[in-house]
Amino acid sequence: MSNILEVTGLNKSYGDFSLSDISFSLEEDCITGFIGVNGAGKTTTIRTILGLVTRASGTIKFFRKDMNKYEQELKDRIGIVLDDGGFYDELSMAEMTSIISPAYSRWSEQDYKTFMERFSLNPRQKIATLSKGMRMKYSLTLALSHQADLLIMDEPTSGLDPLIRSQLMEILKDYMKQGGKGVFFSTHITSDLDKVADMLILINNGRILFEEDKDMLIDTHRLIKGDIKGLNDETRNLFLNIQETEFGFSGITNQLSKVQKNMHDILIERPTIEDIMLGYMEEEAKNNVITSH
Amino acid sequence: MLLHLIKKDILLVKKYLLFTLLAVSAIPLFIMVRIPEFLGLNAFLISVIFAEFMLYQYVSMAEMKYPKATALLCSTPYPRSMLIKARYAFLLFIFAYCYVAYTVLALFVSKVEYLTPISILTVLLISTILFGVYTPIQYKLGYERTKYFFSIVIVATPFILPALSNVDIRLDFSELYAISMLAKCLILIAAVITVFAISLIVSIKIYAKKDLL
Repeated sequence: MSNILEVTGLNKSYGDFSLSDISFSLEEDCITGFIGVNGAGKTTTIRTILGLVTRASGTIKFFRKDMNKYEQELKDRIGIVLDDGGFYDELSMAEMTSIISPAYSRWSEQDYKTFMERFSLNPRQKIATLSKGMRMKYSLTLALSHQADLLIMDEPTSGLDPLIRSQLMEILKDYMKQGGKGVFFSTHITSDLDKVADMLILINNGRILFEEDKDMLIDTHRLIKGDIKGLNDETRNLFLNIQETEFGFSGITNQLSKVQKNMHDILIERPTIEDIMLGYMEEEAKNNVITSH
Repeated sequence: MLLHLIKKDILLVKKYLLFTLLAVSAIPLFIMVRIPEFLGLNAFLISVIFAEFMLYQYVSMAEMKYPKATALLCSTPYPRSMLIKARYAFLLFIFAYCYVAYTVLALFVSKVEYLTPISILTVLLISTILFGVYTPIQYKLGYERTKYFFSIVIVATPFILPALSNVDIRLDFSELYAISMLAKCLILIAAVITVFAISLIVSIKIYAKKDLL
């Protein structure tokens, strides 16, 4: 499989916040979840990749072509879903479409109509009157109506009810069935990715903490629960994070065999993506405290 | 692509379009009744500045209200420079409309005389200078910080024009009078193109570095 997006050494500063040396790649035929809490740098990374904000340094290649040199050609192959759509609310969907569609050389009126009908969207309806779910569906319609090879979506599920989120996941799976496509999907709702994501990239405080195959990531980590008595300096180091209560502890580890060897009477569970994400974030916070001291 | 982006600006001001377009014809009529000596260049100038100012401000307000929409447009294959070119073209369209409206008025109202080429080009030059200065500043500083610039101009225009007409300016324009009408027109056209091109290039350079959040 070839890379459809390669980001190397991306740096960008905004006052107190900065993206630090962001590097990752997306493979063809993969849905990649870009996860992190609010303010972690997901939106800034996506906007920097799309050239909406200037970057201090770094290279961005889509389909092995440099974004600086082939910006228009590459953007023609990318479908965008921005957080909250990014529309002029006072226009109708038909008017908004009449502005967006001429930008794309492969715009398909047939695809557009099909999606509008599938989502029960009335083109004459004013965008301001759309619910959040309908806005996302309209946004997705625009992104899918020009035969895009890569879908980039910034927090598309934020604020949506579970049914619409589930419909979105089905649409993404249908889109991927065409082959040769890719999806880059930022979210802080990691449960959305459980069913559909192939790869996961975690960003925190403007730094990439990991870029892993989702199944591999879940297989190599475990949620351990047990008695606090089992924790000592040596065993604590086997965990990314530890939550302690008066009844016991729970923690994420990627060193299961060592934990089993050193600790007894423990409960081992398969973690969720969110458990792992929080584990790495807390580990980073812990390391930062140690480094600053 | 350019036409679709001009259409975007028109769609954004559609609520105010009818009023502004009617006002463009109403202003010369009002001047004809109240200060007939101002018909011609002055009346046309006020119409043009009023229409361009009103519609430009409404577009800028809409862009400020929906910043993510601009981000969406810039994430499509539309080059950023095209958005700027469309804004300048939008102003030219307004100017063209004002000229047509004034000419139609001259056709039906006997007191309103047809505009001379010099008057048309002079008004085009003045409006190009005003918006040519304002537009790059607005792209640099944003609508919020620059919105009063034209409010001051529009409020001051009715006071400045009569004042200027009463001032006894003793400049020697004899050499300028000596040159032919065609040469004057060519000088004005050259000036318009120069100001327009410099302003457009500066705006494009400013906007290319702007972070769209």
